[in-house]
Amino acid sequence: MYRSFFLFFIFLGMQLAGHGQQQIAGVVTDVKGQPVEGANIYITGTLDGASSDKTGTFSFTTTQTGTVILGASYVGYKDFRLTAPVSQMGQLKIQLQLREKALEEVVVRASTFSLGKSRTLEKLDALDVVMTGSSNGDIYGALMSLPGTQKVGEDGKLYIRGGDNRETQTFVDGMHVLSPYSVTAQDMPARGRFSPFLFQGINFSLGGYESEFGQALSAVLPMDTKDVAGSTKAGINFSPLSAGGGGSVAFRKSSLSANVNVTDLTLYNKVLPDRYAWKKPYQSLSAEAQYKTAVGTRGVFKLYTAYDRTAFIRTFADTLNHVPERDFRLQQDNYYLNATLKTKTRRNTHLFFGAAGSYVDNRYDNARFQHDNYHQNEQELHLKAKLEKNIVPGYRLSTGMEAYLRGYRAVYHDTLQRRLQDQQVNYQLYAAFVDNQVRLLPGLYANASGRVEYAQFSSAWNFSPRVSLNYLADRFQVSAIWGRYYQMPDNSVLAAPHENMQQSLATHYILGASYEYKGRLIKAESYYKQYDQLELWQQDMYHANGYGKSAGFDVYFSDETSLPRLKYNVSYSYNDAARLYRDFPVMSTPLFASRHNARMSGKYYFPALKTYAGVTATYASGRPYRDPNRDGYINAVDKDYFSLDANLTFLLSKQVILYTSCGNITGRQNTYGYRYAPLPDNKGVYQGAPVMASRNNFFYIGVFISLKNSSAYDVSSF
Amino acid sequence: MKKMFTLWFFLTMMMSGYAQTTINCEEQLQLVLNKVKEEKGMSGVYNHVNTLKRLSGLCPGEWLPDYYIAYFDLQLVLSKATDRPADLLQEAAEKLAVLKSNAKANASEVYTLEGYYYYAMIAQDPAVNGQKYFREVVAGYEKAIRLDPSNPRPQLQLAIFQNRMAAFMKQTDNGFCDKLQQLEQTFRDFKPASAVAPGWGLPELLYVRQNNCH
Repeated sequence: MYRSFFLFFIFLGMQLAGHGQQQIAGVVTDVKGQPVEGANIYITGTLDGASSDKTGTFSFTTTQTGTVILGASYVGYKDFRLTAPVSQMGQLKIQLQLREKALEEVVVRASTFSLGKSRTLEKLDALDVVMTGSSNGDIYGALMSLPGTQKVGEDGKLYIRGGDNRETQTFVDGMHVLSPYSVTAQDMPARGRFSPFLFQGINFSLGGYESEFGQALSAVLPMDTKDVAGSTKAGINFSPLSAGGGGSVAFRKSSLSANVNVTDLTLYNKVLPDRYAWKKPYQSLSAEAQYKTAVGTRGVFKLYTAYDRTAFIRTFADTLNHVPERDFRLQQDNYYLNATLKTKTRRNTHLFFGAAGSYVDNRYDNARFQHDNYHQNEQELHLKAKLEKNIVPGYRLSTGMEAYLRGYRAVYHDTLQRRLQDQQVNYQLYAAFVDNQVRLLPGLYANASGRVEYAQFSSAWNFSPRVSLNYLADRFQVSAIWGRYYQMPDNSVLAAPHENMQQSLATHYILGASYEYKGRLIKAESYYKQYDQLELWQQDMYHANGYGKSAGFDVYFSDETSLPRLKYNVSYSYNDAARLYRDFPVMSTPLFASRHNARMSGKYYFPALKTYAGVTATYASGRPYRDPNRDGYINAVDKDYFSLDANLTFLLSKQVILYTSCGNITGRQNTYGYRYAPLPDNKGVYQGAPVMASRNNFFYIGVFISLKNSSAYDVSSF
Repeated sequence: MKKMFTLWFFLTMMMSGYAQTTINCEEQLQLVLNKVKEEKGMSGVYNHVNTLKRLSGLCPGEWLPDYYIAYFDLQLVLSKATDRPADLLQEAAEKLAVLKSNAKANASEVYTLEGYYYYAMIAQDPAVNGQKYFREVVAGYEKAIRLDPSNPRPQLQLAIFQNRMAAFMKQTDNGFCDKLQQLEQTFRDFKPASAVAPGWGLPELLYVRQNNCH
C-alpha cells in the first residue's frame, strides 16, 4: 500500500514538474523586416500570450509542455502558426505576411466609379452628389461630371462612351427600373426620379460590368438604398418651384420612411420665363415610401414604392412641319415597386431575392394636331434570385437567375377620334448567370462569367461571356476586360413592323490603369465597343441588320488632399463612334456623340461662412447633325458646347440649410444640332432651326429644414 | 496499485485539458478589465486588448470580449495613444460586424459602440469626415437609446457629440449642462446585467461637466 502511494506521488510529482513555467520569446517583423508592434502572440487554446512592443519583441511564460501550436496575429496580416515543442520557442523570429484581401473586399476601379459605400464601412456622402456644380441635386446630373459621359443637353439623360441613353440601365437594390427619368417637354432636360439621399451607395459602371447585369449595352448604374434608419426624423423643403416633406420613423428593428414632393413651374416661369408658351406649366407630384426591417441578425428586407404624376400643357406651332398651333398636353403616371430580401446563412452563403414592378402611363393630347391623342403605356416585372459564396479562400462564386416580363401598348386617335394606330407587344426574357472570381496569384485576380438568356420574343438563346484580368497592387491597378452584352430593342421598335428581330449586341474591350496616392487618383482607360444586330429600318420594317463601333479613351484625375477643404477632379474623354442603325442610310456618327468631352469639377468648404461651394465646367466639341441642304447624310458639325455651373450650400443653422444653384452661369447659347423641315420651301431650301434647351440658365434656391431638434444638417428623409 | 494508476490517469487527463476546459469567461474577463483599470495611461491598454482576443477565441459565442476589444480600440484611437489608428479602427469595424450578427449581444450597447466608431472616424479628420459620418453617429446613438431607453451611455455620447457639433458651428448648446445633470442620475440608476457588462461613461460625464459647466 505504502509502495503504491509512493509511486503515485512520484508520478504526480513528475506531472506537476512538467507544468513548470517555460519562457517563449522572440521578435515579430513584416516581410520587409520592419518590426510589427502590437501583434498578438499566444499559445492556441490558452490565454498564455503577449503583445509585441515597438521593436517587435515579445516574451511570456507558459505552463504548457511538449508540442504546442503558437499563433501570431495582427490586423491586415495572415495569421501565423508554428507547431513545435515549447522548449524550442525561446528565441523565435516570426515574419508576418500581408493578408490578401477577401474576394468580396476587392474593389476593381476599372470602368467603375463608386460614389458611396457598397460593402465596407467606408463611404462618401450623398452630399457629394448634390454639391457637384452641374448636378442641380440630380444623380444623373452629378454623374455627367465623370469621364465617359457625353453632353446631350436637350434631354439630360446619360449617354455613355458613344452609346444611346437607353443603353445605360438603372438598378435599385439590384432590381431594374424601367423609367428612371422624369418626363419633360421637348428639349427640356430630364431629371432622375430618385433623390440621392435615398442611397448609401451609387456604383456607376461604364462598361465591362458583371454578368448579373444584363439588358444594358453600354453602362449600368446600380444603387443601394440605405439600411434600416437608426433615427426618427422629419423635414420639409420649399423653393419657388417646389415644396416637399418627409421623414423616417425608426422602430426596434425596422424603419418606415416616406417623402412627398410637389413641383410647379408656374411662379418660376413668371419670374424667369423660358422660350416656350405654357398654358399649364410643368407640374409634378411625387411620393415615395420605404419599409426596411432586419430579418434575424443577418438579413434585411426592403420594400420601396414610388408614384409620380407629371402634367403640363404647352402651346406651340411646329412651323417646320407646317402644323398649326396646338395645346400639347402631357400627363404621365409612373408607378414603381421594389421588394428585396438579402440574408446570409450560417455558412456565409449570401442569398438575395428581389421583385420589382414598373408601370408607366403616358397620355399625349393634341399630340400632332389639335384634338388628336396618343396613349402609351409600358410595364415590366423583374424577378431575381442570387447566391454568393466564398467556396475556398481564393474562389468566390456568384450565381443566379432572373426574369423580365414586359408589356407595351401605343394607341393613336386622330382629330376625328379614329384609331389609326394600335400597337402592342408583350414578351418575357429569362436569364441565368454565373460569375467566378478567382485569385490566381497574390494581387492577380481573374473573373470568368457567363450569362444565358432566352428571349421569348425572338425564341432565341443568347450567351454572354465575360472575362477580366485585374492586377491590384497597393496603390496601382491595371485591368483588361472583354465581355458581350445583349439588350432587347426598344418596345417602340418591337411594336413596329419588323422581321427577324434579335437582341442587339455590344462587345466591350477595355484596358485600364489607375494609381491612387494619399487621396489622389489618376485613371486612364481605353475602350472599343463593337455593336451588332442593331435595329435598322429597311424596306418599311425593322431588321436586326444594323451595326456600329465606338472607340475612345478617358483620362481622370481627382484630388481630395492637396488643399484643405478642397475636392476637385478633371477629366477628358475622346470618342469616335459610328453606326448604321434606325433610319440611317449609311454608317454615320450618331447625333448624340461628340468627339471631345472635358470637365472640371470642384467642391470647397468655407468654414467662416459655413458654406460649401461646388463648381463644374463642361466642354464638349460640336455634335454632328444632318443638313439636308448639303450632300451626304450626317454631314455637319454644330458649334462647341460649354457650360459653367455652380452651387452654394449655406448652413444657416443646425436645422436650416439654404441651397442655391445656377446652371450655365455665362449664359452661353448652346445648341444641340439642327432640325429641318422634311420638305424644301419654294426656293428649294430646307428651313431649319437650332435645337436648344428651353432656357439658357437655370436658377434654383431652396430651403431645407430639419424638424427634429436633435438632428442637424440633415436634408435626407430616408 | 491499479486504483492509483487510475487516479493518476484521471489527474493527468484533467491537467492536460485544464487550459481548454476550465476557462471561466466571465472571471477571466473580469481579471482583464481589472488590469485595464490599473493601467495608468492608455498606452499599455493594447496588451490587454490582445488578451481579450485570446479570450474571445476561447469563449466562442460570447459577445463581451469582442465588445471590449472594439471599445478599447476606439478609446486608444480617441486618446491618440496609438500611432496606428487606421489598424485599430479596422479591427473595431470587424468586431462591430461580428457583434451585429451575434444574437446574444446587447443591441443597445452594440449600437452605442457603432456611434462611437463613427465618432472616432470623425476625430481622425473632422473637416473631411464630419460631413461624411455625422449622421451615422447620431443614428447609432439614437438607435441605442430606442433599444434601451435606460442605457445612459448612448445618451451621454449623443449629448457630448451634439455639444461639440454646436461648438464646431460656433453655436451654443444651452441645455447641455442640465442634460449632464439628468444623465448623472441615469448612470447611478443604471444596473449593469453583470459585473463585466458595459458600465463605462460616468467618469467621462463628470470630467466633461467639470470642464464645461460652472
